[in-house]
Amino acid sequence: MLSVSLALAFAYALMHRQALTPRRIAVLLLAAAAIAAPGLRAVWMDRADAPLHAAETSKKVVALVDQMDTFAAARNECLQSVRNDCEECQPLVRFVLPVHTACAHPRGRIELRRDALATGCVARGDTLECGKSL
Amino acid sequence: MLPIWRAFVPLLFFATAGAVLDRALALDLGALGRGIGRWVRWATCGIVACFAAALHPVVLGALIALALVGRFVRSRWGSAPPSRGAPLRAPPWWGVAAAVLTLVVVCRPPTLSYWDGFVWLAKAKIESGGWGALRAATLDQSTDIVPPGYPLLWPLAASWLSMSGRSMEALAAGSAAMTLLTLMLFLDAAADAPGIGHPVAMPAGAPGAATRAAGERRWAALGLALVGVTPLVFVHLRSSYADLPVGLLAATCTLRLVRSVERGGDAPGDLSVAAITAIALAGIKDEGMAHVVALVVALIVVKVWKLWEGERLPLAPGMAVLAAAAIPFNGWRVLLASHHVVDADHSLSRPDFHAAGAIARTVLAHLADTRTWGALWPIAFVCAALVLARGNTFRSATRLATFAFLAEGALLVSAIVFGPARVRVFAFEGTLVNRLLLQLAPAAGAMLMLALADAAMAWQTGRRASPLAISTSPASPVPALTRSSD
Repeated sequence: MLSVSLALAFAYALMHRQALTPRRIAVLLLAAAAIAAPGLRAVWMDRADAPLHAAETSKKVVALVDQMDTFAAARNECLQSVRNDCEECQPLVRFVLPVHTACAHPRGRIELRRDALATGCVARGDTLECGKSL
Repeated sequence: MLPIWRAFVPLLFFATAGAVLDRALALDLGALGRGIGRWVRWATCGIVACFAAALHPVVLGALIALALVGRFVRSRWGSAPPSRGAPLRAPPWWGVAAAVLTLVVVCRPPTLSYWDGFVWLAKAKIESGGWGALRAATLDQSTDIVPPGYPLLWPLAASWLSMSGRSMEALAAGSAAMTLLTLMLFLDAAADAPGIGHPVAMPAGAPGAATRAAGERRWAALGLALVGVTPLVFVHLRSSYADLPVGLLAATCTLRLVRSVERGGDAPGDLSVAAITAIALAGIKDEGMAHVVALVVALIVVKVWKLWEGERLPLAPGMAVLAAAAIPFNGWRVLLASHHVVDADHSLSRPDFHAAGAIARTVLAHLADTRTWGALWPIAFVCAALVLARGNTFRSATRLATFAFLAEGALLVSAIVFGPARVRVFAFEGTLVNRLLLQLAPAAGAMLMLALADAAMAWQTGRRASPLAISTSPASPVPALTRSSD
């Protein structure tokens, strides 16, 4: 409702020359920013990708990508299978293995559990286990 | 912070290539204005030319042929050579906006946080394996490229601008450089927009002209700031998604085409930029072609409904832009078809009219989500309604920009109805609707900017009784000073 009221005030300013002053339009702009404030607060402060948390999230992403990259590179990106239960890891797996080509001697498995991003990976033989949840 | 310095050498290479093409084909890109804007236009031209060459030499040849035809037509039927005038310097706040936006884009962690890594940067990594690697992989049915058949410009540019980097941070920097390029191209077009950068009806040296231009630029800043305070715009500026760049290119194309139409044969550079952005649009995403088609539809509507004041509205510039976009778009489609690759996400299917109600409700819910969009959409749609209802207050350029905004919106929403079922699943359960709306946000900003400048011009001239005062009579409902034909 607030945004519709603001839109009507904007229309009034456009229609009536007396209402269109730089100061009034600046006030409208501030009101628009106030309406957007909860969203702006979320993207600047609350979300995992917000500047306040981005460094922490970034560390987890870098660690997981590095571990998968090293594991896949050691096997010439020719893996037996990738089991992925971690939704947020999906883009990272695709980035590490952009082309799933058929290869002659596939070796190694990557298992990504739901909490893989938070807990990181451990290599056990030919399996890279990421995450602890079952 | 992203290692954006990786893009410096490639950008210099692309700008040089663009400058050579500009000179060889008489595109007039450099003549539009000096400063950083010229380098941005050249770099974009260079990237677009390399993209065309990467698709197929025939595509590049066809685009060069189109440019040569344009040059021939201008020299054969054109009148006097374009008058250069004195290009206005961009105001200080334009520099501040460019600097702030650059910081927002560059100062982010060099990691992937979204599905942009899945769709775009994974493909950019393939191209970093060698020139043509992505094209070959995409056209090879045996490789598992996801999603298959998508246009290539975005991942190609990300790879090229990262100096063929293979790491996350290098490729993220490459895509950030391309985002910055589209941002600067848009700001450059906004600074030059009719009624913003150049007083449309006053000689540059007329008394008060500079003051008026400066005042209108202030309104432009306020109009664009409405888009700038949108939360989702901030998120996408810090990602490698292609949707905001698509929107920026579409808005640039609109502003340049409008200026080209307004100034007639006096502005070949504007038409060249419009055509280059249209090629880029067709090469980045399939929706990009929809934006170009919508713009041409808007041009036809404005012509048919006689909404263009002054001289007869020519359709030729619009057709030239459409032809430029159609060359890479159809070239890629032919390549896909000849290699039996199906772009399943974007093939047309039987329209699902039963889902129309649900789609409308979903789109409305997204439009009304102030946490994501702030007050942008109510303001934009009220402004559009006002321009349609009280057209006499607004110049022809503003009316065309408004129709372009509405046509682009209508075409994108109808794509959800006419697309395959998979698209509707993305719309109902994913981020598709917000990403499509993001493609419209710069168009909304351009419309708001022009409408505010028009209203301000009417206000200023109404307030001051001066030699610049406008005359309104029943015969000329549009203020004489704002006639496009002047």
